[in-house]
Amino acid sequence: MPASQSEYRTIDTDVLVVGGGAAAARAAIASRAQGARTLVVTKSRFARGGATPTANAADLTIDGRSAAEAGLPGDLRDSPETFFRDIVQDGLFLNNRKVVEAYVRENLPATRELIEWGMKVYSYEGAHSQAYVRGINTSGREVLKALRRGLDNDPPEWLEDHMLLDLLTREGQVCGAVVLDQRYGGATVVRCRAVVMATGGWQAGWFLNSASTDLTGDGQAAVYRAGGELADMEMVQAMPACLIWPPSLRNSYLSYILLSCGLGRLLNSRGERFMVKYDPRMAESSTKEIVSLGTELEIKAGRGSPHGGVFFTLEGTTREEFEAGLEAIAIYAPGSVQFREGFPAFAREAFAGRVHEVGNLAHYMLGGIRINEEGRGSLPGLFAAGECSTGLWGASRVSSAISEAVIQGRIAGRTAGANAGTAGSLAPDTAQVDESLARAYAPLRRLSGVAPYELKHRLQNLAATCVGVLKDREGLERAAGELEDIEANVVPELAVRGTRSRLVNFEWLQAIELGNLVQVLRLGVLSALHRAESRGAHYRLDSPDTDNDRWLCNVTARLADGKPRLGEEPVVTTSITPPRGRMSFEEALKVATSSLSSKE
Amino acid sequence: MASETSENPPAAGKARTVKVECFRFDPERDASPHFETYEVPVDGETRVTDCLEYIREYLDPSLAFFVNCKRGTCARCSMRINGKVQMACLSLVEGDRLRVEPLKPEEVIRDLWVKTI
Repeated sequence: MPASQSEYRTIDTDVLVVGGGAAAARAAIASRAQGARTLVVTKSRFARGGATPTANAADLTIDGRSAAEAGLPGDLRDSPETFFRDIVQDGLFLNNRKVVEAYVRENLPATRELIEWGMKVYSYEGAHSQAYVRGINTSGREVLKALRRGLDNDPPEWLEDHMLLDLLTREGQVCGAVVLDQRYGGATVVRCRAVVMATGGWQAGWFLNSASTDLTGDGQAAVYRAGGELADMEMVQAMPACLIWPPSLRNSYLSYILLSCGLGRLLNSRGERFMVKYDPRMAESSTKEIVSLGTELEIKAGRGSPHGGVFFTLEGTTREEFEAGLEAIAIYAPGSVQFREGFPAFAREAFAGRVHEVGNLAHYMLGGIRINEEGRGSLPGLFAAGECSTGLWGASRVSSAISEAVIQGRIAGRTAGANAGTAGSLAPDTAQVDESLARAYAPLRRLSGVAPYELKHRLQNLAATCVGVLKDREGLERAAGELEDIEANVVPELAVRGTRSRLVNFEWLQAIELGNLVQVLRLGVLSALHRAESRGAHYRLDSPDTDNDRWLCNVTARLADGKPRLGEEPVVTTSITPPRGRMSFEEALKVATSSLSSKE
Repeated sequence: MASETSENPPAAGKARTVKVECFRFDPERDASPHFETYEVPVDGETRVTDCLEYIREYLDPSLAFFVNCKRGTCARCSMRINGKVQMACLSLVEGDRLRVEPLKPEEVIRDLWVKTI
């Protein structure tokens, strides 16, 4: 074996957990409980990062019966089985049923532990359109606080401000990872028996997104490069009616919260309340999908706002309704500085007559690393939990992603920890290490080339134009061509312009993240092209129906011979017979809209 | 997901310009810290993080600072803004001058990024 050309230090562990939010924290606790040496690597602070801190309202979901058993008010008419059925129906039957079963089964013990670890529960409440009350109103911050308490019992080791570069494999088995210190620029090779990915989504691909900055598809892209399988990459969920202007409120969902309380209206540039056209009965209270689509159709028709959205107004709201709404929303205040301070200021301004611009944010990535009910990925030694994985929600998510993170972290960490006891330890291939490090350091060493921020803007423009809520074959084909060219010709030419310092060089780090974003966006585009129908979060203007005879399958993506290769896998089904036949998008969503296609 | 994007550079039609005085220090390259002033076009109410991101994306990509949750939870963008310790993501830009310094100058790794945040 040739000696490596690169400088790095090496750390040995049993289980490597990648991520900084709830899924990573819970996986680390579970892995330690199996007696496995555990190392966490995160771009942010451990158990303080990822998307978890961005969660504010009704942050956990649990069926009413389990809630009662956990000591919450609960509702004995509800059950894990009913919750299972709802998740599968809401997911338009693309959910891996075994993954959903594991989620509803482990919800009770997982929630109980959080409460034991001191998580504050502000209230137990219902979300709109749910038959049963299932929401535990706490906050992402409270969940993380509880998990840090859980970690204290038997802490793992961790490396903060460290970015995953690549997975290392030997004979197809995951045996380590290369990571980069974001503060000082040095590299570390982690040798391990199992890796649990808990890296979240790739919302950074869109300028308008609801996530924290660290969600750049690092985990999905690393798994893809290592030959692992991803699925449902076309499923990107939008959060409608979120603030996009003024900039001080951009990417906040305070306007959506008001709408979900029945306050406020969406207007187009002609001052028309356009949602009554798309859903005469529910208007702005329609499902997220329909409000997202209605908004984009107005923008496409040239009736949008100056900054690419539509208008939000509280005109027509009475003072009584307004104060009642504020009071209802105040239950979220304890968990969130935004709700305590930002929200009342925004709401009062809106009530005083100010019109804000709102639009769709890239909110949640339904696709990702394909796992089974034990959290196992497609490669030996690979595990995943939370948003970076796929299977639980199918084509649409209406329950809590924080619950998902905690429950799946618990499952994947446990399996990985137990697995580590039996898996052999394989020495990483130094050629893989050298290649990974050469790629990572290249933008720092290259003397001329493409500026990372230029590529970032180009990607975000492309994502906004072709990979948004409304997709069609033409736009997707253009995006696929452009992304193929970018991956082959632009990413390898990225060069930092500002400084060659290795100390917290964000331009350099951005260049590395862009390599990941390009790959996951490209897989998303190819998968969206492949799925020639509309379902849940995936809407094709040129194929607006939901076709259960042709498309009740998961679209998979993997790297084969240096190229992305797509496939189709039957949905893992246990109970609940899926519907047959072709139906309109609204019929599939069970929304009584007048047809979206009669938009003019 | 709409077409609001970061046009290059998004200065046209901006209502005003803010002079941002920014603490700069690379301990491996500089003998001592200094301040650099950037002129940032601003339109509508703008957060300090928006200003700093504008600098990094359009004026000087070498500027080191960190934004993570963008909503006042993670506190990683804590810094001294006009002398006062604040989270940049929750602070509005007021007036036409802004001075940003690291939380603890003695712990700077580079620029506004310190070891303890």
